[in-house]
Amino acid sequence: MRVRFFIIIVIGLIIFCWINVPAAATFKDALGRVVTLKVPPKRIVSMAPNLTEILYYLGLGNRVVGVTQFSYYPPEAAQKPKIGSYINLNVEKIISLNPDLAIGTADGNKESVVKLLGQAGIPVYIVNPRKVRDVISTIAALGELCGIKEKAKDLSSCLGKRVDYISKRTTGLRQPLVFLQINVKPIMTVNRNTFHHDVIRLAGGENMSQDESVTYPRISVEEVIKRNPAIIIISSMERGGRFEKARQGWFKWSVIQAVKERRVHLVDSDLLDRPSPRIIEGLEVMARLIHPEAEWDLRRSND
Amino acid sequence: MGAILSLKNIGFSYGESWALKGLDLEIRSGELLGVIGPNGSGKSTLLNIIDGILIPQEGEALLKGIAVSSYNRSSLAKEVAMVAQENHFRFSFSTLEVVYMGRFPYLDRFQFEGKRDMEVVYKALADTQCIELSKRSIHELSGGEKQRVLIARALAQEPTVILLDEPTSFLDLKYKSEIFNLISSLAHKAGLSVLVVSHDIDLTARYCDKMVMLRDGRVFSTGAPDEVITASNIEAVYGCPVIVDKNPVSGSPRVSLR
Amino acid sequence: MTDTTIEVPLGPVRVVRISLLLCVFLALTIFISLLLGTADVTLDQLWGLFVGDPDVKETVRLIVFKIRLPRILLAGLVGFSLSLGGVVFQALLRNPLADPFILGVSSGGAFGAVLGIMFGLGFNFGIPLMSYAGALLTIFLVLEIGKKKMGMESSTILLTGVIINAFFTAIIMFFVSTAVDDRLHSMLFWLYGDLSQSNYNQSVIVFPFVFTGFVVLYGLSRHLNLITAGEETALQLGVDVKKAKLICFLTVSLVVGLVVAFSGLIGFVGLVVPHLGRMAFGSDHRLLMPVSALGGAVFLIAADTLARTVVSPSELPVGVITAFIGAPFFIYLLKTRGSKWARS
Repeated sequence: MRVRFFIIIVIGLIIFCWINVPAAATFKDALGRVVTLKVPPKRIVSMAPNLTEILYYLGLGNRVVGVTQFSYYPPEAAQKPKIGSYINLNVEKIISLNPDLAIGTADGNKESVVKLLGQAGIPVYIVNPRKVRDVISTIAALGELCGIKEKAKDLSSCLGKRVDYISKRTTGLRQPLVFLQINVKPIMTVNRNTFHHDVIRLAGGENMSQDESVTYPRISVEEVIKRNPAIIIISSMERGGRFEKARQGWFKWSVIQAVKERRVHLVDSDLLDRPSPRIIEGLEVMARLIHPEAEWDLRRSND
Repeated sequence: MGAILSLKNIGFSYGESWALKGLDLEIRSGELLGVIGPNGSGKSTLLNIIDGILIPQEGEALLKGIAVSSYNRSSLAKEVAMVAQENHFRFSFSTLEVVYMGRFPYLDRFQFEGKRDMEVVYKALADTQCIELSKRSIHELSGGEKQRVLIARALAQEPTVILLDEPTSFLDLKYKSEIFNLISSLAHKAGLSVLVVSHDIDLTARYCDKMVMLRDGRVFSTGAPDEVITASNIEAVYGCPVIVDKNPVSGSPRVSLR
Repeated sequence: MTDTTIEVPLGPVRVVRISLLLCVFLALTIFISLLLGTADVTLDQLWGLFVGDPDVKETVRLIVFKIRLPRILLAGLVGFSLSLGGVVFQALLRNPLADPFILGVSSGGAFGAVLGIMFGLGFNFGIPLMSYAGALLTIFLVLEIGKKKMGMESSTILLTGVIINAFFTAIIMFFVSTAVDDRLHSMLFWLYGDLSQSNYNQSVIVFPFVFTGFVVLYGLSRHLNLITAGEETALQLGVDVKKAKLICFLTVSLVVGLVVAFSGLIGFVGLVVPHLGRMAFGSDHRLLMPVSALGGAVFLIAADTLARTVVSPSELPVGVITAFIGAPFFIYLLKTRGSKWARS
């Protein structure tokens, strides 16, 4: 009698455990690394601000247990515990948060950190988006990684449609020369190896400095006058202030076409420089600025 | 004829103890005065008081009857010239440029050297036999040559008093006597008041008209060389037994260790 | 026996003659620099601009008069001041390795500028003001600490300057390490010299200070000659050494602090040009001062022109060019003259 009771308890316990043990799954990340983790991950550490944005975009904000220093978007993310900056991650802090998944980026996070985390038994998934469309596929991949494959697919295809829309409307249009300024003094711009460049390209423009060898080259006013861009975009980190002054500063060089036609604009740098969902927003802003002649019907909400 | 330079009851302290105390000293024009004494007896301090760099806490130092401290730097430089023991020229100057430095107190702020300065410098170079050295860099000169050039610079100041701090310390024998000959003629022929501080007791005794022996910041003995240089004085001041006799040629006192 | 006639070692005629020669050289350098740059400006066009030919393209007029000329003028004034400061400090401190930054003015200025950049102040007014405030702070500190000892004793103020440099550099490093993005770039380029986007206002503000500073310092040129022979010697020859040192220190620091507020830190000019001057014309400061100052102007204008043409259309910080030219030259100097400097 007592033995039978005991066996039922044990079987019950086994069934209980079997139901609740998370299944382990294997994924391949952007660098081809094989990552094994228990799905769904419930305690996620995000090792770059754009990754934090993506996680929140996917609705996974409540699963995020650690973010890097400058993760200010969305504002709720700033409340999360900090794990250092994405170039200088605090490994001890990450480990102490007891995550079951750490998401990192090839552009910035250090290899040594990834190794250490691996040794501590924390699965690390690395992404490496290099273009705007990579961002969309990254969102889908991360969604699958976190067990919300369907939702992520919907969100990412929505973003993809927005990009397609712009791409279609700008094909065939003449590409105006665009000068993108990312620093006030000294004047710095971007070459083809940047997100900014990809946004300009998709928006139907030609990046004035695309062929420079340095990624963020420093150039002179003379060069801008010489190349005579049709549009000047200043990637601005804050409203007004020194960036507005910089914008005003261009108006004294009236020989430049962009100045003559008063096409000198400020665009929030967050919309252009990081592989996050907002880059699609940035693309839409840029498309309107670069090709105002095309009629845009941009629905901002995700559908 | 009164004393050009008169120090009465001079007391100077660097902080804790008195480097000079109750010191009286006089020097007339045309007189070569030798100051001797062991290290730490106050010789350098004495010189610095005369050229106005240090101001005595006690007593008075009078130059031509006026207190040294009441002269401004420029006017003092026109009266008192100093040839220091150490002279390091950081950057390269020619002999001529060095001697012209002595004309500093005579020129206004934006003024360049003129005819009178040229004449004074020429005479100074001639008196010290430095004319051939004019164009050479001061760094290239030998010890003796450099010393003569510095004396020429002092002469360019057209001073009444020349002070020399151990001018022969680093020189070869030949140049030692050369320098002493020179300063002797400055006193006796040119009529300047010359005060020389030296470790070279024999040479000083041979050339000087008057001598002052310092011990612990006070005047231990003063007078003619053979009055000051006696065995008992040397022993008392320098603390070592000596024999003092006369140099058979010059007749001046000669000191030898016992 | 030949009678060597004695001349004065230096007369006003020679000073004026050599200065005029250097001025001509300066004018030539300015002219050539106006021709060089990212955009093309031909000799005809430049000539046309000077004679008021209305046919010259508007773009060229803009580039020459609004971009290149103000920049060249500022470079000239900065180079002039840095070399003048270098020659004076080398004499004052009797140290051939001295430059105008050795007493800390530059690190204070850099600290002010970096702070200004952190707060997002403007480059036209806010940051130069902060920089100058920083420079004034260090001047004040050096004077306070230096005065306590035997009246501006050289080794004391030198040590104070070194400590101040180290202190502010550490703070600057902290800011640089925590700065991000555009502020970081601005800081780094300021710390290596940045003459881009210069305007005429800057030169107009700077010029009276530089001119006055030169006149004041030139009045002390003979004093400096004597001071290099030794401070006690100078005292004995009638120089009011303490007053001279104070005036020199203040004047150089105020002028250098001001130019650096606009141009950032540009090294090697104040170190190397005085030595070139000394090698060519001797150590008499009545000639050496105008020679170094004018030479410094030529040097920096040339270096800045190189900075904006060598990797055109990109630009290098001008401090990099001065270092590339200055450092090897200085090594050469050390090899040929180092033994002389080591003496005493």
